[in-house]
This record gives sequence, structure tokens and C-alpha cells, in this order.
Amino acid sequence: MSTATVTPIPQASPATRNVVAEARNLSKVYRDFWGRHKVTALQSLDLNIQQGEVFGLLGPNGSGKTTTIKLLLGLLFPTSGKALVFNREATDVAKNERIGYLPEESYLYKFLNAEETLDFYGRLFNMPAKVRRDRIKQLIEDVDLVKHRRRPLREYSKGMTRRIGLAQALINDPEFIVLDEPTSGLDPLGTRWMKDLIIRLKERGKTILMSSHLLADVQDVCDRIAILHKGELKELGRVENLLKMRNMTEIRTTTLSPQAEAEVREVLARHQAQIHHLDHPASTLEELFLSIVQDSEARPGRRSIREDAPGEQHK
Amino acid sequence: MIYEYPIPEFWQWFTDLRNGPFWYFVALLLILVVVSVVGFLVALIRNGPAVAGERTYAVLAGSFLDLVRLSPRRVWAMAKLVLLESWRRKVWVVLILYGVLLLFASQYLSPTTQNPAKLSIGFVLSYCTRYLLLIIMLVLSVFSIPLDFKNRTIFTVVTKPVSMAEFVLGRIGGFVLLGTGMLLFMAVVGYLFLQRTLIHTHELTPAFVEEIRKNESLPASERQTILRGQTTLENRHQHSVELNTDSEVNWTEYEFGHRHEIVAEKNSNGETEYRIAVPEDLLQARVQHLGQLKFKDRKGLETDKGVNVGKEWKLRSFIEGASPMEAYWTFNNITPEQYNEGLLIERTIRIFRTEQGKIDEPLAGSMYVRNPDTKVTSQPFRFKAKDTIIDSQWIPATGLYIRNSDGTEQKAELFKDFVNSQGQVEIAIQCNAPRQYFGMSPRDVYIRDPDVAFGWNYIKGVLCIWLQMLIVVCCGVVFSTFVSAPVALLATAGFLFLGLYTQFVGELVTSQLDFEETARGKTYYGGGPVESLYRIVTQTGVTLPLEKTVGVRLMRMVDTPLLWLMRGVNQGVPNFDEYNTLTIVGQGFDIPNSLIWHLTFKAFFFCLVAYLLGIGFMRLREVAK
Repeated sequence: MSTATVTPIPQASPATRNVVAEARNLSKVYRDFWGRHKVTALQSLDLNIQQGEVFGLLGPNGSGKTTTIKLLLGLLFPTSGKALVFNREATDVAKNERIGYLPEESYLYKFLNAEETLDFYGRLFNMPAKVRRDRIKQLIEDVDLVKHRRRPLREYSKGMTRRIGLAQALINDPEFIVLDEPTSGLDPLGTRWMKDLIIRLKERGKTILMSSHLLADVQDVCDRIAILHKGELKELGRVENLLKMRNMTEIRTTTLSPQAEAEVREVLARHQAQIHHLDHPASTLEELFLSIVQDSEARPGRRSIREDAPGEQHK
Repeated sequence: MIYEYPIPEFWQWFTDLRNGPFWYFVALLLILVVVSVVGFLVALIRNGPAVAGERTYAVLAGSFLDLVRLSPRRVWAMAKLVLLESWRRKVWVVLILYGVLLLFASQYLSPTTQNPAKLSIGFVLSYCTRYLLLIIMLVLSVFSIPLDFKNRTIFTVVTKPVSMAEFVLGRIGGFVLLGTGMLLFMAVVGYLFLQRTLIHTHELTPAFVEEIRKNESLPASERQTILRGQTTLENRHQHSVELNTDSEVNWTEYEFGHRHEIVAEKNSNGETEYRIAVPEDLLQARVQHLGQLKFKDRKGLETDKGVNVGKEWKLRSFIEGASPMEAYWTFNNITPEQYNEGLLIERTIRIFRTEQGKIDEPLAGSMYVRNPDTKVTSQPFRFKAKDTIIDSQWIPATGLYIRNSDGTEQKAELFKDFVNSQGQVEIAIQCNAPRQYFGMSPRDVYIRDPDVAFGWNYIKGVLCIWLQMLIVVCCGVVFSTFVSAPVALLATAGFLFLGLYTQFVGELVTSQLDFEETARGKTYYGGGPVESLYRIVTQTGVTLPLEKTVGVRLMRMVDTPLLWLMRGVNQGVPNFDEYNTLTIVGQGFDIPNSLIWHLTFKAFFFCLVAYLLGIGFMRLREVAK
């Protein structure tokens, strides 16, 4: 049964002042019609999401990421524990005034076009007509759907659907934005665009919770992450802290001459330092792809040709 | 449904603690208590007493707050979504289908019906409008919310500040608006169809016109006063005419449920031309001032029923001809202000013959006006009764006579001598034909008040269809909040069936629960659901008593609460027959305004209960499960 109540916001202690969302010993067990245990989706989860941060929920498929999000949004009822958003129960409808949600698949009404979609969701926030119209116009420009604003959503591509899905999540300029697998199904350009948007939202002071199993995307944008596996919290902390390899030192310089390189090796050997890798660093495939696409758009018809360095071979 | 007795005024009914809606509120309270208790018990089993208590309170308090904080803008947003979706899914095709049905209607409406108005109105309003609309709205309303769950579009809605009260109300409101738009279209087109089909006129046949001209050209002493002829064939019928050449106004014969006025006019050459007007009594709305019917038996003593001739409807019984038997009606609220010129009494007599005679020959009868207190009786108003034909009698306010016991007569006035101080008057009817019977039901004799416009009455009939649609939509949406679409469809269809056959089911159930009759030794066979199933399986006929074994006793123990439950459900389900005022419109009677108020209140109250249950079901449901 729903625990929806309108509870007054208690005075927060200094420790909890900036907590936007919180899971306290949160568990979710799926049962069948007769109440028999079927699956433990989440087990005693404790975490909180601070104001202004981008929080990532990581884990393989079935680890409980989406269940956690649904519990925080009030789409599911906890078996035990509490899910709080802005210090209110997750099932309290009033908290929805301040949140935005992009589901995994942008579940939108396919018979509506972009303008109608945003108009519908805007009305649900009791936005006055003029404010709503201006907001819709702005959002459609922001998500680059101006040319397609009158087409029904059933004719949209995956990327366009995600963009309009994001627009509806931002229609009320929410303080807390929940993104479930935001880059799922997007091409590298779309992924880059989404990540840039997340960063921009963070810079505007928004709090973002995103779940993903695409590790690189989470690494690029998240401040803190929680790693779930089989419904349990396995790791929680800041990304840079978690990823730091404390038993290694990395030095990046401009290209060294062979003599300089030999001297560096000599110094390191003298200090009994074991060299794991000394070579030109590699960029990421994403950066390579984006640079090629940007170059192609700037100079259409020309193929970008790189000359191999001496000693390198094309496979 | 035809109403036999006066419908009490709305406020009179509303404040009646015994028969009024007080028990509706009691039932609502009971439902809320039962639902809360059941919910608490389920939560208690699953989560323990503390959590169960907290959650029960949370649902009840939360639902109440949801209602208090309803936002019209959000509700309208949800309703508009429904309208847009329906329009884009081409629900307007139904309107084209409706138009096609009416286009070809004249091909299969019977041309020989004695009441074309009743047939056309019944066809248009009942089959085309009512059933089509109810079926369409039933199907649309049950699929909406389950589709939202299936497509998960509900996720993006309930994560906005939309309460379940607004969600459910928005869906109901959207479908009601959609249905209203469709009904308006159907009503307008249907009305135009009726006008086009029924309103017509004739001309006198050329041969008859020639005969009239020849008659006029004769010297005055040789002219015939009464000429007989026919009208031309229009709308697949014609009328016989008995023309009184001395009268400026004549009437055609009453055929196919109507007649036409024939007006004599002089043309520019000074010749008399006869113009036949459109029928006045095809599309009409007679206002019935109904009375309470009682009888006097062969000894002249008061009784509630007359003679049962064995084949008639239970509200109709018969009086024997050439005997002291009579049927009399007591009318209330007879005031000089309203009836200063007199009373127009209309009567429809059913004839039962024990002696064949001439089958079409009308039977003689007499009507009297009587004071309910002093029993002072007027002179007889003699008439000839034809089976089922509506006949009228004018009772003037002055110029009446009292028949004294010594056979003398004295002048009398309606309000001075026959209407008592409470504004009541009696109208009595006797049959004068020996060995024949007049059949009477309460509404067979009434005072005809000034007609209301047929258009207004038509609108009232359409409003009753709208109320039915409202109930069906509410049920469909509410069922769909907790079961899948196909199950909701079956449940709503079953509910509709129960509503259409409320009377039958009620009689079936109460006949098995009639403890008083059982105590008097009357036994009902057939039994309740379990016993009936047993009889079906064992092929034991319903009229055969079962042996009083332990098993049979056990079956009946199980059946008794089931029958009570069926009775409760049957009484809770709106009686759609009550809402079927189309028969009233088709027969040319006004739908009383008080009836409209009653039906509207009942419909809205039922929808309120359903809506509250729908909110509760949605709050209990995990959207993402």
C-alpha cells in the first residue's frame, strides 16, 4: 500500500542540509500474487545524493540500478527502509514539482508531436500559458528539434526521441534530474551531446542522478558513483578517488629525444622504480571519432589521412 | 421505461429518509469502511500491524488531500490527451457509420407501422444513438489506462506532480467529453432525420378535389355537407377524409399514429381550396398529470385491483362492463390558477372481450368527475372506446351537473363542487358494454397539461443517454485501474448487462430470499448459484425439490450469503431501464423534469463512488511493477 503522505519538511541538520535524495536501508523484494518471495532486487541500500553533484549508479544488468531509481521516484513501494527526496517520502506527489525524469526508453505518447508533448507535460506543472509557450520554444531549440517539432513522435529516430524525452524532463527546470541510461542507444555524437548537456546542467547547480552500465560515460561526467551488484552496494565514492592507482606514478611530457629517454630510464633504475610503460600515450576512440566527424563537416569530400610514424604499420 | 405514478419532486425525494438518497450515503460510508478494513487486513498480513495502520491512514488521508487539491489545469491536460488520442485514432469514423445507418434507415423501417414516430424515435435514439455510443465508449474507456501501463507512458506522467485523483478524473473527463461530442452530433443528425422522415403533408387526391368542386358548383340545396375521399400517398401512407364542407377546419382520419388538420381557404378566384397541414401529433411531448388509481369491485367497495383476466401486465387490471365496477383516479394539485378553464382528460383503454361481437366496434363507456370527500358525482361523459387508441375528453370548469340520487340534476362547477380543499379531484370510468371489460393502468388516464416542445423533450431523452454513457465510462475507467483491458471490458460489459436487466435479476434473487413467503409454506426451487450449478450438473429440474441432506443444507448455507451479495450488487448497479426514457419520447409524452433530476443525481452519485474507488485502486498500485 502507498505510503503517500504530505509530511512537513523537518529542519535538516547541518550534515543533511545538502542532501537531495536519500535511501535509508532501502530494500525491495518482488513477490508474486500470493506474497511468496520471487526476487530480491535491492538489499539494504544506504546512500545519499548531495546537492549540485552528478551521481552515477553503476552495475551490470539486473543489479538494481533501475529499481533504485524507481523507488526514489515513487514508481515502486519499498519492502523496507525509506526512500526520501527533498526530505519527503518518495511517493509524495508534491516533490515531483522539483524533479525531472528521463526513463530508459523515453516513454512518450507517440501520437503527439514535440510541441504537443511539451505542452502536455508543461500543463501538468500548472505552468501559465505564456510561460509554457516560451519554455517549449526554448527547449525545442536547445534539443535541436526545431525542424521536426510538428512531426508525431512515432516518426522520430532513437536520438530524436531521447532528445524530446530529455526536454520533457527539463520542462519544469527541475532541481533534481534523474536520468536512466541516458546514453543508451545513442551514437557517439548523441552521446557526446548528452554528456555535454549533463555537464552544463551541473554547472547551473542542478543535481543529477544517472544510471548506466556504460562505464566510460559515467567516468566522464559523474562526481560520485555507487556500484551495485545483485541488489547490494559494493562501492561508493568520488570517481577520481576510486580510480586513482596509488601504487603508480604517471608523468606526461612533450616528446623526448632518445638521449633524454635513456637518461630518464637510468634515473628510474637508480631509484629501483620499475617502468611499466614508456611510450606515446593513446587518445580515446571517441575523441578520434569526433575529430574525424568534425573535420568532415568542415571539409566535406576530403578524407583525413594520417601518416604513420616510422616503425608503425597498418594492420 | 414508462412511469405509472407521479414522480415526487426532487427536493421532496431528497429529504425523504425512507425512500430518498439517504441510504446512498450510508452505502457509500459502508463501502469506504469495508474497503479500508480489507486493505488494512491485507497490509497486516504482509507487513504487520504498525505498518498496516500507517499505510491505511496514509492512503485514506492522501486520497482525501488529493481530492481537496485537484487542479483543473492538470485534469484538463489529461482530458485533452484523451481527446487528441481518440481523434488521431480516428474515432470519428463512428460518426460516419452513424450517418450511413440513418441514410439507409428508411429502407428497413416498417412502412406499415401504426406508430411511425415511436418506431423512428426508437430506431434513431435507441439503436443508433444509445447502443452505438455505449458500446464505443465502453471499448474506448477500458483500454486507455492499461495501455498506459503496457507502454509505460504512465511513468512520465506520475513522475510529474499529478495525483491519482487528477489522473483518474482526467481520463473520465476526457472520455465523457469525447462521448458528449459524439452524442451531440448524433442527436442533431438524428433530430434532422426525424424531421425529414416524419414531418410531411398530403394533398387531396385530384378525384376528390374534382368531387368537391362539382359539389360547390351545385345549388345550395343540392350540395352535400359531408364528402368522403382520400389524401395522396406520402411517406408510404394516405389518410381517409370525411370533409364537412360547412366547416373551415376538418381533420383527416387518425391513421399510422397521426392525423392532419385540413384548412379551408379561399383562393383569388373565390374558390375554396383545402390545405392539409403537417401532423401535429407525430412529434409531440404531452405532459401527463398522473393520478393514483384505485378500483371499485362488483359490490361497489374500494379495492386496489380490478379483475385479472390472466394475460395482462401486473399494473393493469380490468373492470367488468354493465356493473358497479369502476376504475377511478385521484389527482392532486388541481388549482384554479392552472386549470381555470377546465381539465383535458386523455385516456387509453384496453379492451378485453368475452363476447366476440364486431372486433373493431368501439365499446361504450362513461366517465364521471367526483369530489373525493363528499363523493358528489357529475353527469356521465359518454364515450366510445377503441383498443389502445388515445381519446380525449374536455371537462369544462363551468357548465357541469350533479346527478342527485332522486335522478334530478343541478348545476355545478368544477372547483366549487368537485375539487376538494386539498386540490384533489377524482375521475372515474365505467364500462357500459355487458360481458366486456375495460383494462386500466395508472397512466392510462391523465390530465393533459400544456405540451412542452418536442425539441426540449428530445433533449431530455438525449440527456438520459448521456447519463448512461457517463456511468459506462466511469465503470470502464475504474475497472481498468486494477485489471487488464480485456478483463475490464468483460467486467464493464457484465455490469452493463446487469444494469439493463436489473429488474429480472432482482426478481430472481428476491424470489430465493423471500423469507416471509417461505415461512408461509411457499417454496422456491432452483436455489442460489451453488444449488443451481448442482442442478445443472445433476440435470435436476428447477421445479423438483431436493432431498434435505447435509450436502443440500450446506449448499443452501453457502448460497444465502451469495444471494445477499447478489442482491446488494444488483441494488448498487444503476438500473439502466430507468434511464431508458426513449420509450416515453417515442410515445409522445414529456419526460418529467423531476425524473431527470432523480436520474442525474443517481448517476453522479454512482460515478462519485466509482471515482473514489478508482483513486484508491490507483494509489494501491505500483506503477512500475
